[in-house]
Amino acid sequence: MADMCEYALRLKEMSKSFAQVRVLSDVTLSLRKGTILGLVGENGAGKSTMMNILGGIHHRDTGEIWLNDEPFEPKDPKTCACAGIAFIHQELNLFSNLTVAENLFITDLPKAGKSPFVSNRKMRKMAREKLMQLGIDNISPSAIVGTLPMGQRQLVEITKAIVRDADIIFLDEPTTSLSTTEKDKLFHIMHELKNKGKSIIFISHILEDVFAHCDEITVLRDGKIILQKPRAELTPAEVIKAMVGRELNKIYPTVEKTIGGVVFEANEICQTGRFDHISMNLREGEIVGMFGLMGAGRTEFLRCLFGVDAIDHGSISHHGQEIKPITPINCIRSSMAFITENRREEGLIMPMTVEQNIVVTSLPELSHGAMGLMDAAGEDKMTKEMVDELQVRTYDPGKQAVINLSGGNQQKVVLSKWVARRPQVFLLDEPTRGVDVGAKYEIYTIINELAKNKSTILMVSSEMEELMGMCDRILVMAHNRITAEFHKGEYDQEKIIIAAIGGEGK
Amino acid sequence: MKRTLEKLKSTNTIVWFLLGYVILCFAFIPNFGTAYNIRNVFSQVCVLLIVGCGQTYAVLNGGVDFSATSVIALSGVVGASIMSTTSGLLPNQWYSVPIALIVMLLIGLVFGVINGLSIVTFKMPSFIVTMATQMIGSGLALLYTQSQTIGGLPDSFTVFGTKSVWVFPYTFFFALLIVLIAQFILNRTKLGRQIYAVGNNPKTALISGIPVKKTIFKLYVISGLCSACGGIVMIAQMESAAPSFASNMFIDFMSAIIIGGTSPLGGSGKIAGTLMGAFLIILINISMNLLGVDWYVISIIKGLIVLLAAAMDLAKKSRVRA
Repeated sequence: MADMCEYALRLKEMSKSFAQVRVLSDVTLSLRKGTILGLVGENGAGKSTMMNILGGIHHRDTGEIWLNDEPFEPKDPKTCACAGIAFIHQELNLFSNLTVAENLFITDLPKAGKSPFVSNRKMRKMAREKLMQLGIDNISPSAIVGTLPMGQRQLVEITKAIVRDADIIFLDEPTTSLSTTEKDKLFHIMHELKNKGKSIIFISHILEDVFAHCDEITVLRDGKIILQKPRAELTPAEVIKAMVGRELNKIYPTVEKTIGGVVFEANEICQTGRFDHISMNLREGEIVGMFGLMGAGRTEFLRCLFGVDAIDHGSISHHGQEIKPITPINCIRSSMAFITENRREEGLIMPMTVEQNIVVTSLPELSHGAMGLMDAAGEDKMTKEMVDELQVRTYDPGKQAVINLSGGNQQKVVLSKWVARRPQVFLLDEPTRGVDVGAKYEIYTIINELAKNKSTILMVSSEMEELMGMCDRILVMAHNRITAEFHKGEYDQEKIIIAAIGGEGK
Repeated sequence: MKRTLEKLKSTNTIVWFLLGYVILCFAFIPNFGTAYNIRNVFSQVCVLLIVGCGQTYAVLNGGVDFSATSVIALSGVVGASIMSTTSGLLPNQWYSVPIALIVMLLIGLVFGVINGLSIVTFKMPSFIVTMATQMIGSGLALLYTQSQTIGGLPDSFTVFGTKSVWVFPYTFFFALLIVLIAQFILNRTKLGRQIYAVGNNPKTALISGIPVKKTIFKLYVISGLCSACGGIVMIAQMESAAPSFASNMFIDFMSAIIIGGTSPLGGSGKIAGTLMGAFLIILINISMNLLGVDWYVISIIKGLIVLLAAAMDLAKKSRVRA
């Protein structure tokens, strides 16, 4: 019975719901020993929930988990770590104030002989050995992790999995913040691990990488496994189709609207060490996209425009009126709105209710008198209006905390709190991040409606298709500069990418 | 019917605990039900209530105001030194009491402003700033009085601290007024909304156009003013002032707030909780005293209750999250 242990991990019909929302349904998946399984799926497809269940953070509702052909119960993170499952997340799980060696051995610091005291020398030696096992020779065990570049930190994280003797390693979007050489190093190590008999689940949006390095590919969509096949039997087009499940050109709604004159101008924005005289303008009713790769400076630029981060020089004006000084309060007064990329940390107040979140931007308008007495009826009215208009699905906006809403509905609450003020300029930073496909469509429709009602939208996104489908114009940012501008009709994926990498788009 | 049932279910555990405790006190402690004793409860709870309200504001921002105790002591001795008929600066004048009260409130205001400005402009943690101002305040109180007690407060003032309507002392009505104002600000005004928003998530609040720094500043000013009001009540009740007043009360302030369910991490909590927490603390003090329990045992009991309250609060939160 040689195949007794053919599989390192198998999931059988695993399901999980959060507050009546089915996140995973009947997920069946198998990971062969000594192979790399590519797991692809859009944001919100259920990848992180699946990992959280296998990591013992969430508990499945139904289904079976088999580890080395034995039933396995991931009851808490410790059980999973002991069972040899390691996770390497996008946000690394390292202590940036400690050394590489300390991070590697933090759960079991090597002692000097039989004494209870930590031996730093022994620890450094062991760390060096472990790093060398993976062919990592440019990281010093005594370096403080916080001083290392992201790519090296990732390698430290992977070494940590080796130290703990993990057999199954989840790599969640490990390449997003890496340079090309760092990426190559990472892939080399992945194959090294595979040759040592470790099993890897590699989660990535970048299909090229998935096709180049995985033995099998699985597609997860809306909590269901759409396919799992050996790589050789698949083409990228098939995988894309399985991921989105519909023809791409149908995703974006259209709207009849007119584009007016220039209403918003940013002139010569400078921020020492980052922006050097950046100017741009937006027209009434226009949806302008801003594309760029990770770290191009798009988010930072929006933050400057809204006064969240200070600038050293430059001005912004709306309808010819200069906003001065540039602070969030003044920008809001000048009819601007800013939807941040990170709704949990900067967009919403998670433990508070839908209503409290919606009215938070309109407190001065909803209160009167020297005491600032709140108009409770006005708050209810505004909330009801917004919940209806943007179709936020909540059982009671006055009682339900936004933390209990799905990602898409949370994003609609963020939009609501701004739309309630009827602003004319919207700065949207990744408005559809972490939102399921259906809610994405609704958000696109909302954005179109805003533009139709003569609002102006500047929308940052990492999804080029989204911008090509939604925008009248696309600005491309690279290395903190605007490197190219494309008008609708002249969109070309290749040219946009070239501009985003830093070359001239022409 | 269903609605009342739901309301009963959602009522905080502290209400039931407090009710149960009161019933037990009446049932098993002789002399607890006397008018004298009940009056004593309502009298002793006043300072705790007033200062607790101010402190709740600081805690709602995830902060703390250690300076409360020394503001009580300093404003107390300064106020007494102005109005005292025997050793006062303005003895036996019709305006001595109002001036004393104004100066006392000013002291609270100044401490609040210093605390608030330091926390907001220098981004210092509140516990460091208020610990420093606490030390300064209590030092000033000692320096000012040469550690003497000041007596001889005018009757027109001490009436406020000693007289009562049935079992309710005048000071209790004053405390109740402060509680109502504090509750009103939090529940019904713009400032209240801003306080909860900033306490929960200052980043979101800033981007949403809330003046975050101004809001935090106001919290500490309110806390300073409440402490000064606590000082007024305290010297009225004691009919004297000493720099040692309130020096060991800080733990009771915090206990009342934590028992009342206000999260020390900021963002959630209610004045009603602090009200009940304050009553529970005073009830424990007085009932245990009547039973002849030693103060150190009382301290152990209060410590256990605070632990229990904090644990229950966390348990409730994790249930909501799940």
